[in-house]
Amino acid sequence: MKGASTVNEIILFIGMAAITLSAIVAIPGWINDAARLFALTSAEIVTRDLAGLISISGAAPDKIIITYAIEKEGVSYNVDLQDRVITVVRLSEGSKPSDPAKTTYVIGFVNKIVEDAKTFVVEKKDGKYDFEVIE
Amino acid sequence: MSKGIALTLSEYLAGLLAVSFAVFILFLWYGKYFDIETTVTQTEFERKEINLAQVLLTTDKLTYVDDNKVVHRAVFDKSKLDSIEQNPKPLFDEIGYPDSEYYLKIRDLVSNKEWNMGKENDVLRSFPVSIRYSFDDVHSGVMYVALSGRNLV
Repeated sequence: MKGASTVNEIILFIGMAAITLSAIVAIPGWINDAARLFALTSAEIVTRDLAGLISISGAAPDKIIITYAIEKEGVSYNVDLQDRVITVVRLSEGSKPSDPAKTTYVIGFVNKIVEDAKTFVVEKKDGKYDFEVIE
Repeated sequence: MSKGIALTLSEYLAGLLAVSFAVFILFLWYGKYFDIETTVTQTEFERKEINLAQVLLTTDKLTYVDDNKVVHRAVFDKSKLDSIEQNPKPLFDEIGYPDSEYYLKIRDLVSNKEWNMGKENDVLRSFPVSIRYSFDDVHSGVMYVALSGRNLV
């Protein structure tokens, strides 16, 4: 009887060891995916993306229209463009607004404030820039 | 005897789980968090420098603009380079990050002539350009850009 108990414990041990090792290998990947999904909609990443798109619009010799949309449900942003500094606050249903994220862009773009938006349009036409919100 | 082995296995199992958990936590914090933070910061600085260069390659302050007002990207006008080198302020006012400076050097690979603007910097990113002296005199060249001031990355 005791021998059977030991065999059961060895099987349990091997099973637990296998599960633990699998978890060590797999779970960081899942957490990484989840973190990346969250990071892609974070205020910091949206700030950097928009600043990059605004900067690169200045590299268009003629005209350019760039649409930047956040597809995650329940998330929107307040965006403040002022003197080559962009500040973004992430608004999420059921949680408080994020801390403001801030970075800079390279061209003299329009100064503008938009609130509760999730689809943005960066435009350069006839040498003039514009920043609009679709949704 | 078997009771002793069973107790050892239980302890070993608990120890394995504890060590695994500790390794997992360490892996998350040191292996992922800092790696992501460093990568994001580094790529952000590089992206800013490349964006700056892309805008400089297109600006009509430096590039050749034909009679139809078409900007010839990456084709710099020699007379504009001479003018901007004498007084780079209009260029820096129009193109540049508010929290940093940049050094811009353009080298003519045929004549070895150089135009330098801004505070000299050794860490340079290079981009191929052309330098237009006249209708039938266009030289190959290189534009070097170095951004400095990483405080607002």
